[in-house]
Amino acid sequence: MAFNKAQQLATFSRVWYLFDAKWQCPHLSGEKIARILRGEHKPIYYPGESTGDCVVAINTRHVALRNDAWRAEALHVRREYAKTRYDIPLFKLHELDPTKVLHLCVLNCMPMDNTRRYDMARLYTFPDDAVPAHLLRNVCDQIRGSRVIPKRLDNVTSDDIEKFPQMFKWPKELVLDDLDRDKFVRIVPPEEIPKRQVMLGQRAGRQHYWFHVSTSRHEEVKIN
Amino acid sequence: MVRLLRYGTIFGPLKDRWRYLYKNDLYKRRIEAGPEPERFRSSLINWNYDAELYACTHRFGEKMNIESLRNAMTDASFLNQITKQRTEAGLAATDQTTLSFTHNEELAKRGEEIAENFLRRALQFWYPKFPKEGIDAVMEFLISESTIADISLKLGFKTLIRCDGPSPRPKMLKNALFAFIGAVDENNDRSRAELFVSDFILTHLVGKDINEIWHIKNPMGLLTKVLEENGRQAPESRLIWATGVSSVLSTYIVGVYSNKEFLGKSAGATISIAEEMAARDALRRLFETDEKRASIPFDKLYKHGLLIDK
Repeated sequence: MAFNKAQQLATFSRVWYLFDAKWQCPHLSGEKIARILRGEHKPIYYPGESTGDCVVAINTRHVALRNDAWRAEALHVRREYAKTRYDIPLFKLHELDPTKVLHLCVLNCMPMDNTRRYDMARLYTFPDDAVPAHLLRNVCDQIRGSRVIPKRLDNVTSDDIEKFPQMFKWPKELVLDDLDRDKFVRIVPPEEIPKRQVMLGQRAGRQHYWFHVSTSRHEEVKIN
Repeated sequence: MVRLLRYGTIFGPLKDRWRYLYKNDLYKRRIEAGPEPERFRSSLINWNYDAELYACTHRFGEKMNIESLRNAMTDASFLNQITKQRTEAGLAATDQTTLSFTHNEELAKRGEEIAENFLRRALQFWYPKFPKEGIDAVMEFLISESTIADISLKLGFKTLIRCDGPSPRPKMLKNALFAFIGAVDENNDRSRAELFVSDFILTHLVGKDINEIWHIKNPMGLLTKVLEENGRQAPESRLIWATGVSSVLSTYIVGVYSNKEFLGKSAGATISIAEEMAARDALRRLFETDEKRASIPFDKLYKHGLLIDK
């Protein structure tokens, strides 16, 4: 192999990045990922050329949308015929396909040109941290998220909590031990999960959504 | 001989049937006759050999005797042909010595000597750390018949050379160029001839990598040897990073280190290729022939301190 071939390979090889979407804002991370998928972070970037890199995004189930977006914002689905439009609120969409929100946020940051779909094809999204081994082997680098993952109270050990300096002591009747999950939350056994309801009408089920992807049954938690 | 198109169609200027058939027939006959035979340039009427020689001296800015240039452009085959013709015409062997010119073998030898000497000195001067085998390989490329014949052809010696055929063979082209260098040395001085060599032969290194002209079979072995000679530890290759390992565009970047000191690095589609290329890169850096180094200043070698040969 000649030197110029080696240089060519080093310049044009597609670098694989890993992105951990846990507690990240999908809009901000979508901007970052779209830039990398298009190759805009490279000095050799030129709009007509395909110079983008590959991104493996994991933990998309745990993205953190801003404000009240889960409830207030929606995916607007326009179907071809009159009076067939409908909105899917994002919490519902996330339930149907946990990778869809991040996917749409990245797609939203891509310009409307012909290379859009080809660039998007280089994005691999996974709802959890389970990634196929052959994809994970490719990964070379990591994209830094824009948000720092805070330390949650239930991840802090009880020693640290006791050692934490307190200015005064609360009266006992005001203290509620909310770290005791079992008091409030019960993990529902599968036989108690309600069965799929009988469909009424032609398009009653979620499987009639065009984007429907059958997902593995995720943990459902019921609060008493 | 490929016939690409029909001569014409029944539309347009060949609308008349008879004219179409007539022209078509002429076209077919021309195709059947085949290509024109090669002819001497001198067989055309607008040919003045003396004027061409005079123009040749001025083209290169060399003031030289026209007769010596004429000798330099005369190939041995031309003399053989003439003696043969004279023998066939019945002339005695004694009459054949009265030819007023000689062939260019000696001048060519002289020119080749000058060229080889200068090229070797120039390469050794500009790449002092490049080993002798490498310089030999580059010399072999520059002095090779194909390179020199190509230069000679591009300088317009094709029509000036007097030989037995209408188009001179590569050997003749090569001899003519070296003989021209010899003639410059004869008429002017040595440095003038060397300047010609650096202008027209050494410049063939433009855009070429001398590390690739000298193809090293086992770069890692050579690197080990070179490091041993310098009293350093054996090279050690490490994977710096890799990406897309299971994709078609897998890339490995391998670096070569000696005693934790960086020597060179390179990319490759597999680890073994990358390692080999990294060894080559380390050699380039050791020999100071990598791309970051300035290219040869062809016209300023003397200014940079290359000594003129005695």
